[in-house]
Amino acid sequence: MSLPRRLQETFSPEEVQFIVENQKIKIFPRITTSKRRSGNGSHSSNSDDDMSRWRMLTMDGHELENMIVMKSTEVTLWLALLLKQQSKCNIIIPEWLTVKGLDLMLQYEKRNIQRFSALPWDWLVVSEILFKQAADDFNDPIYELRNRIQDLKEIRQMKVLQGLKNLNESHMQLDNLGLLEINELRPFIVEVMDKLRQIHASVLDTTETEPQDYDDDKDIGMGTSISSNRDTSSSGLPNAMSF
Amino acid sequence: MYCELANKLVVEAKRTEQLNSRNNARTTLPVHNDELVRDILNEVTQLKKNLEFFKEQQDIMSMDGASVDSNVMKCQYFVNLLCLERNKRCLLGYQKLRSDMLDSMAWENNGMDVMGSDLGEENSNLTHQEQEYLKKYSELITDMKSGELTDIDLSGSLTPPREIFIDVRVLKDAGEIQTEYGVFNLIKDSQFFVRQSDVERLIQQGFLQKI
Amino acid sequence: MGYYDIDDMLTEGSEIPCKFLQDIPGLGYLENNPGKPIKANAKLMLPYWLAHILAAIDNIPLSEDSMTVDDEEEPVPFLEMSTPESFSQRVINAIKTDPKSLDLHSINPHFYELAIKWCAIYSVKDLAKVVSELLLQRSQDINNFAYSMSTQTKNIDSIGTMSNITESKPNNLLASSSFLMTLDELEKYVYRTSHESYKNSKRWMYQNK
Repeated sequence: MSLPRRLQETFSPEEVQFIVENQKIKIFPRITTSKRRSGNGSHSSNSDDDMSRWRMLTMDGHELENMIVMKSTEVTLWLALLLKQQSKCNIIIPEWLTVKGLDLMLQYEKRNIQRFSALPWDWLVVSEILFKQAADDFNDPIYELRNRIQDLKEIRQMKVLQGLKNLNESHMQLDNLGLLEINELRPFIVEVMDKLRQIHASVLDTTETEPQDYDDDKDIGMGTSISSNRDTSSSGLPNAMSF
Repeated sequence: MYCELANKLVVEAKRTEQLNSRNNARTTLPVHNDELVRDILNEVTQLKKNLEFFKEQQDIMSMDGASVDSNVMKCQYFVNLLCLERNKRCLLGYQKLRSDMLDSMAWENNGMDVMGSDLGEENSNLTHQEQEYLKKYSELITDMKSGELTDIDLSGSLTPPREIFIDVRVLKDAGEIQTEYGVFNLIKDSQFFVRQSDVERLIQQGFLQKI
Repeated sequence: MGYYDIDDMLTEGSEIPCKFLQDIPGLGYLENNPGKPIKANAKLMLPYWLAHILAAIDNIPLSEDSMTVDDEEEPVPFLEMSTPESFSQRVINAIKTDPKSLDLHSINPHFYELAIKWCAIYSVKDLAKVVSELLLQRSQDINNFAYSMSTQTKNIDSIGTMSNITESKPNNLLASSSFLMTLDELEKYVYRTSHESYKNSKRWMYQNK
């Protein structure tokens, strides 16, 4: 198989990060981009330095909004990070990623033992990336934020472990859990739930079941996201039973 | 009892599978167990003879019109047939595992000639057919990559890129390479700031290391 | 579960206590008695792949005329399987008493897979329930263990050199091997794959600092 086994079971954290980098984030540009075609002339007239003008191009041809110095705009995270690296923008730290915001979440986590606070689905990845690459854009001290993120991660992890005691063969609810959190749990949950389902199915009314299907569809069902690849029955037969 | 050898073979396959699931790095294939496979094949021949014999007996008896205890015949026949099937399944399972591993090896080597000299040691673990298989499979990969899919490096790094330019350290002398940004002379232990896509292949081949 | 699945082959190799219901000449070799017949009521251990077909064989229609089952006789299977030791009352009791510290591997390295097959044939709802509960209980420990192991190896893995891993492993290895030895093959797989996943997340978090 061209794709190594470890990448068939779940996403790698790097892949998760790549997905998250497509999310929008607000920035304060430090540059002004010239408008394409028509806008170009009107803008350049009231600027004396043409070198300060930038024109943004993307390889996939999608339109980027023009940037005006210090006028906040939304761009994808990867682009924001690229601009940030070249000191062409400041990233506006999202509301939840402040001492105040995180404290609120922590309070909620502590008060509600059964639930997860409504952090954005990419909270872990975004916070890690911004701590590393946009440290100077934070108003709060990073170490305080880092501690809180760590606390949140731990308290939520505890809840997850607690919740896994109630695994069953048919469903599982993980509201507000982040992508990275789900991602690291995926192999465990998929594998155990699938076995529970098989055990459960094995004693169901056997008259409706079909004989065991030996079709080796291992290489076809390569769903990384939800289905486990190891068990071909889960991807191949909707009503999979051993007999 | 029939099929005990086949069991042995499957246990061996299981061990191979486990060893390879542990190390994340390269696929390593143990020696093909020619002897055991041959013994099992001999058993299969024997089972086949038995089956033919039972069949003949059946025919003779039914021609005689004697009241045949067909059930008894059937049972002997089935036991032999099942042993035959079991042997077949175990042999195929063993070989399938190995060929799957060969596939992985071919991909790990970018579909380039895996039969090359640095893999000589591994080659000795392969049977002649397996070597042939690996060569053909590698050729298929090369063909596919040079066909309509040339624009995508199918055997490239599977880690999503994070930066366009990266720092690399040279691990082995590799001579001069030419890029859009000029010529680099790759001398051991020197460092460069280069475009990732230019050096990806060299990293995979172990000439460079990303810092 | 496919035809080429090595674990499935090993599961089907599990031995099941069987009782022959008819005299069969020439099958003596099954009980180490080559050349002799097998008598009705003879008890012996046979691998699952052989036993479960022989136990169900009167259900298999035969195409050839000469081999059809006699109309006058009630079709009787060649043999009867009885509950394997793995699912005996003794084991079930042990499971109910203390599922977590049970050495499942020594009971049967393919316990769950065989249980699924067994439940499917005889539709033993009680067994299915016990086995589900067992998996659920034990998987908690497996998950906790996989998670804590990944925390311990965080620093080692981020450095990533082989020598470091081997040096600091003895402690973990000692703790892990005794626990891992008691897992059945499915559980081992669950452990490996979840540990790998936790480790990757940790590695990523660490890299970003």
